[in-house]
Amino acid sequence: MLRAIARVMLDGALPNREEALDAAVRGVEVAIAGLPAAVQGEVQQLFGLLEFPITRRIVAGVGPWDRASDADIAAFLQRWRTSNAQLLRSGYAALHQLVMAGWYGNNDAWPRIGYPGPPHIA
Amino acid sequence: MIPDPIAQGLARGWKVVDARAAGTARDYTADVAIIGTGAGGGTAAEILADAGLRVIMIEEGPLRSSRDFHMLEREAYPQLYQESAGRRTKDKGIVILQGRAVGGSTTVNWTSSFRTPRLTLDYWYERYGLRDYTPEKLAPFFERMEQRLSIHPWNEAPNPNNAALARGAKRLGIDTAVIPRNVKGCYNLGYCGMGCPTNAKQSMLVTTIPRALDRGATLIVQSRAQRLHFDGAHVTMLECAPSIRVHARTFVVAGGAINSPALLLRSGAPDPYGTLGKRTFLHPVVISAAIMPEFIAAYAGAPQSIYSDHFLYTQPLDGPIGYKLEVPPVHPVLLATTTPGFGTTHAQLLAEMPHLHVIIALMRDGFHPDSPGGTVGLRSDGSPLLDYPITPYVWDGARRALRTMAQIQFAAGARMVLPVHEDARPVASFAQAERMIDELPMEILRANIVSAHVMGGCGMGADPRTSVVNGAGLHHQLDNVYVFDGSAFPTSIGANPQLSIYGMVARNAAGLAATLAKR
Repeated sequence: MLRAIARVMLDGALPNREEALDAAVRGVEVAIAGLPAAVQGEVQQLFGLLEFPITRRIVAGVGPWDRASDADIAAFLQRWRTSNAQLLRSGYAALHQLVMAGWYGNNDAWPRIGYPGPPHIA
Repeated sequence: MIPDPIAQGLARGWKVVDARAAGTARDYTADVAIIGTGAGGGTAAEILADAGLRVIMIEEGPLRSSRDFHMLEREAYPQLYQESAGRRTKDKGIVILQGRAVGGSTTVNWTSSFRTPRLTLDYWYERYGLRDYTPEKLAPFFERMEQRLSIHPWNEAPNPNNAALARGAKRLGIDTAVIPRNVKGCYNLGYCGMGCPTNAKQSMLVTTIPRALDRGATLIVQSRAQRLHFDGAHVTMLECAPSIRVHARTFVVAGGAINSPALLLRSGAPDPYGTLGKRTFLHPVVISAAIMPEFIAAYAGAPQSIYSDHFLYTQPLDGPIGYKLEVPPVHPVLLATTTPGFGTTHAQLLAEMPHLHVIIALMRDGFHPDSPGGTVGLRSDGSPLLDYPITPYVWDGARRALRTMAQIQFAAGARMVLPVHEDARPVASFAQAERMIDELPMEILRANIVSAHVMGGCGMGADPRTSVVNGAGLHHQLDNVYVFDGSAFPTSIGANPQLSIYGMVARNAAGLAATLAKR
């Protein structure tokens, strides 16, 4: 699930897709581990909702994650991003924050955005 | 190799206790227990230890120092910030940056140091009866802390990100000025937000806390203040998690404006007028990004060196909300998480990073009936949660600020401007930007609102019905509990708050030292 969402959210940002996706997903897992228990619980709730087939269909409107097309996933993200329901927007915001932090904290993300990394201190 | 004052101090035999380490003693006794080691706790620790008092500091976060500061967001945010730099308000509408390590937010802030503005103090005097909080009476305390922390206007050239703010504003006849910073021998790197790797930033971590430890104070780290225990109006003991008990004559609460009220709430502290945790302010921030023709590299160089108070002082304090203009540092994670959208549109914007210029507007909340701020409450597990509904009054300011920032960015030569809002798109002229901004729906989780300044919740005042502590920082209903941090402010400050905290606490900690000396 996370991998499928990261693939679409980071479309155009990943140099070598499979390896970079591994790194992004690892980054997300580390980010989640650093959250306080109450917030981790909320994230697990969101992930549960997106992984459980019935709720996945209802709230995200996509088929099984390993078969969902990029276009379907993008449409789901777009619906949540612009939804009138604050709860769906906050779900999108959580996914966005986790995936973006998970990827852009990696050195491999930097060449494409022209960030040279931290300076060397003499 | 840059000398690490923390490593040196530990080698000298500082009393630093890791609450999570095996074999740690569980009971401690002191004259003063200080909860939190940020701007308030650090300042108080030095002054009280210098007065010969036995001081214990309790810090929820870890002890990290320059040798640990690698200028990497992926390390700094989880280690040094509350909730991995992703703390949010109850409805998720505002992201809050707050420190969580020895030194508190001073370890990770961007060094901007302003005295409390006169207008803010005048308001406190009038509305909250704080007769000793005049610029003249506070001046000696500000001077003392400015000297202590080497606070002086930045005397090198601003980096291109700051220079663009100055240039755009100047072309529009908007005044800007140079920001005073608490640095000594600054390398001008731009990584203040990840912990200063050269110890140039004069944070509590490298100044007051080492001094207090040299004077024999004890520091307990990785220990969360859980509950104060009462005997009538007197606090006898602080219970921490993992289980440590601190017995003291006096308790100083300095956990920051979310954790301080939360500790008092968890403890069931008296709150006869329902003021505790109320009137919590954030300086809600809106953001405008621009693509400049020139190389900006907003990740390099002193992050904040230019500001404008034009939109704070050309309109009345209690009129439409005013805002201070500054720029932020731009690093990959902060940028990627803040930039709206996803997929190729997001990736294309990020690819412009070397040319990105960003302005932020910090809104001065708390001076108008329609800006009552937020409320700190507790989750079922006792952890704090800030509920901060954004009122139409604040949204009006957000829209005006987005317009102002776009105008300044085009005046500075921007090719494109993007108000940071999910429904906005990059536009090429101010006319287009104005039309777009007028139409943007001002709602949470569409407009991107952030905060790095949490204030209030244990407000000071002469009248117990409208405040939590008095002007000395003493709790109205408890005889040995003082609040020495930004939570004691009755409103927001209208400027980056660290020096306001230093000044207020320098005053009140000296007062407390004198009180304790008499007993």
